[in-house]
Amino acid sequence: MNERITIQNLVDLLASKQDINKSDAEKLLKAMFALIEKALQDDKYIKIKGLGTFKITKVDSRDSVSINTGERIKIEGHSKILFLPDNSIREAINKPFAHFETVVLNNDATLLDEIAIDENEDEAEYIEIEETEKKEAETKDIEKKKKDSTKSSGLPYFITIISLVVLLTSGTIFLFFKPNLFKTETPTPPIEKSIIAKKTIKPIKSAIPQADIDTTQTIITGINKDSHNFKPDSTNYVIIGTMTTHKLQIGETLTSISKYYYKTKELWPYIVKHNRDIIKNPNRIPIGAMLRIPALRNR
Amino acid sequence: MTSKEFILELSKQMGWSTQKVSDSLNDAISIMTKQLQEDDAIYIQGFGMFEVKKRMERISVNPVSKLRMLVPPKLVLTFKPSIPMKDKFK
Repeated sequence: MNERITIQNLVDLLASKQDINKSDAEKLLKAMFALIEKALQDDKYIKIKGLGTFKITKVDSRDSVSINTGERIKIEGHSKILFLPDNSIREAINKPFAHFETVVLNNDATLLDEIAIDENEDEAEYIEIEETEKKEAETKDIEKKKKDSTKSSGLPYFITIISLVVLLTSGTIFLFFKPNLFKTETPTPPIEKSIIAKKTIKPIKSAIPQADIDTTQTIITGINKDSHNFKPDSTNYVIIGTMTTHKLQIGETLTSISKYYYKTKELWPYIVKHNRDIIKNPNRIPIGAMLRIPALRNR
Repeated sequence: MTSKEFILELSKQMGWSTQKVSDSLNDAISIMTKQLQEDDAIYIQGFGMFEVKKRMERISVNPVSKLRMLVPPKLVLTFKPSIPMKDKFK
């Protein structure tokens, strides 16, 4: 334990294990290390199965500061010996710690002000998702894209997809309902409008910087209209109680749960609505969360 | 130099068969591994020291996805060449 053992100890152990005498064992070990040294000199590289690789690498010259005088000195470039242990020996050494795994940290551990920013962004996303969710039933190809986006883990990718979807849908809607748009659009309080605009502009801008002001204007009006359509859908059904509970597994999404219980993925907002205390952010629900699946009745 | 060439060269020097050399080499390495697992350092005069060191756990950030990850502690085998050996290759 914690001892420094020498070549002599190795010789003893090797001789007791193998049917070779001590002098042979010593000869072998000494020849082995001498040969490693020689091979490094000749080839600058030696690989020994079960132990690892020794090689010579170059170190570039670099500036440093003398510890004693504080003067700037230059450390000349030189070579050094590098040792890379073999996979088998690496695993054998790390055995006591082998059960540890790299874990992704949740954003719970972030600082307070960071959380505040995070929540704002998430809210904006959440609204967008709900808005698009309603529109998606008509166009199937866009639905496919959305499915991808809900499954993907990379947030930037996610935002890009979502804002693309918003752009596409609002574009088509604007074209379809162009004559109706100005009629049906009821005047909203200016403050609310500006908030929505502020929330939506950010992700869209980041996704499509080349979009000119005119198109962004269209998008904003389109989304404003969307937010009006949001209400009727969520009132199509009423939550009349809890049907069952569902433990969230790895790889599941709200839409997949909705599809499992209601045969359609469009009804996931009800699950969110019924689990406000558990689902703080629909994009990030902890694995193993016990979700209450609401029983729905058509209105 | 590869493992095969190494064994061949060693068998020439020792006057043994390659089979015997590779067998005893494997034994020597497994003995070394066992000693290292028991937290011993192997010091070889004029060559260097094999030692097991503990790397502490740390938090790393994926530069692309900005995901923060807790990397667990681990035990690694390190080799520190002896001073004459170091100077020789400088």
